[in-house]
Amino acid sequence: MLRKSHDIKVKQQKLFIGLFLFSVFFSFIDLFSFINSNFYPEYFIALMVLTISSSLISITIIKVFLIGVIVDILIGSILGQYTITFLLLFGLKIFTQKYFLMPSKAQNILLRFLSISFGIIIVTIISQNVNPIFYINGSLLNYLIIEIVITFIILIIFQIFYERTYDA
Amino acid sequence: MALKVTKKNLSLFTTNFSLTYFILLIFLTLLMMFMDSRYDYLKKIRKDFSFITSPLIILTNDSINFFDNFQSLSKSKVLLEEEINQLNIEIDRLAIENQIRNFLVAENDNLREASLLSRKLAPKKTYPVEIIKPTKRGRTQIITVNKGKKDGIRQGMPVVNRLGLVGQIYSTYDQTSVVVPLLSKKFAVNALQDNGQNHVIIYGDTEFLVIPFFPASIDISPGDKFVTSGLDNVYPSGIKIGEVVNVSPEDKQFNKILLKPATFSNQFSLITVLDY
Repeated sequence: MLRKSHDIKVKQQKLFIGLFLFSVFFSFIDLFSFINSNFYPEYFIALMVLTISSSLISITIIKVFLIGVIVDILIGSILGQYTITFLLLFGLKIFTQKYFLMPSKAQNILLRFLSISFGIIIVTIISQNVNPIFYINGSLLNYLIIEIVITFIILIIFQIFYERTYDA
Repeated sequence: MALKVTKKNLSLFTTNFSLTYFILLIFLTLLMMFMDSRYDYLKKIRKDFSFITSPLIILTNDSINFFDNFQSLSKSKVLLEEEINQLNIEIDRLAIENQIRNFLVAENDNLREASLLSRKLAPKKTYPVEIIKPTKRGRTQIITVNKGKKDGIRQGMPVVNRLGLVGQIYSTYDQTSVVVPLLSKKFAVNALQDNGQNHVIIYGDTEFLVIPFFPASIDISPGDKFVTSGLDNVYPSGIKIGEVVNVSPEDKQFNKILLKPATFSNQFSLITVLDY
């Protein structure tokens, strides 16, 4: 496996902190209120999928747990909502690694899409059960589809930033 | 050489992953969720960490408020501009309506006076006519009106409006008639001073009415008014003709008197022909 240079590592750590703050900021903003819609893109799920799948920072299961707890404190409906989601995403990544040691680009994209879908479904199920003010406009399936698509677009944007850390 | 498959490589997860930790942390997370749903720890933790989260929330709320205010401001601006446009259109519309109203008021006054005049002159028949063509023929001002022989208009009929005498029907056609106005060389009318003392004949001229030979022994001064006497059996008595504006001696015995007509022929478009 190719080892990342020290400069790239520092860049990627800075990027992770930047994206984390970006996610915190935008998670508090109802960005889609301008179109009278209550969709909240799951910035943290996009960030964690990128972090886990691309090794944005050297990640361990304890770090995943701690990040999950911090995100729960910041935006969670219940303590453990994002923690369990991130842990399961991490488990999914480790599990798929067993079968796709050198995945192709298409497999990678599909895996990320499935990870996002999986994460959003878990977060939505927990929110629906424990958050008394959880409200969706229309059917749950439509809501999930739109959430997944929007979050996947956010992931693509994050991925672009990630790939730029290798430039220059 | 056959690869030696170790027990470690056959395990479900790869080597640098501890399944025990994973299960333990999952269990811990579930326990956290259970405890939080039962004792609502998250609220308390959030309260303790509010010094971190509050600035973030304030920052985001301020940003949202800024954008909301900006949006509302731009919306208000657009709405106000639209309202100003609507009000300008409304002002234009009201100005037009006001003009129409003023015209109608004037017309109504005119009609009322005409109606009062008709009633006053009853039982004489009256014909309300409209001026359609004021022209000049030589030095004579000619007025064409929209009623003629077919409507019962005859030559010689007096023509008045609500302010006084306008003239006389000079000639008639099937559909139209021609009026000779007061300010015409062809015009003459038997008149009486409004104090009822002096009978005179007033003649038309280009700018003023004239009494060419008024006895110098009789006192007359500017402002004195003359009305039709009715002695000529052409004009009914009491119609205003004009008022004296100038008295100049013609010779030792007579004065020349100039009068300003009580009305001008083209002052109103609607005039009345009297069947006298």
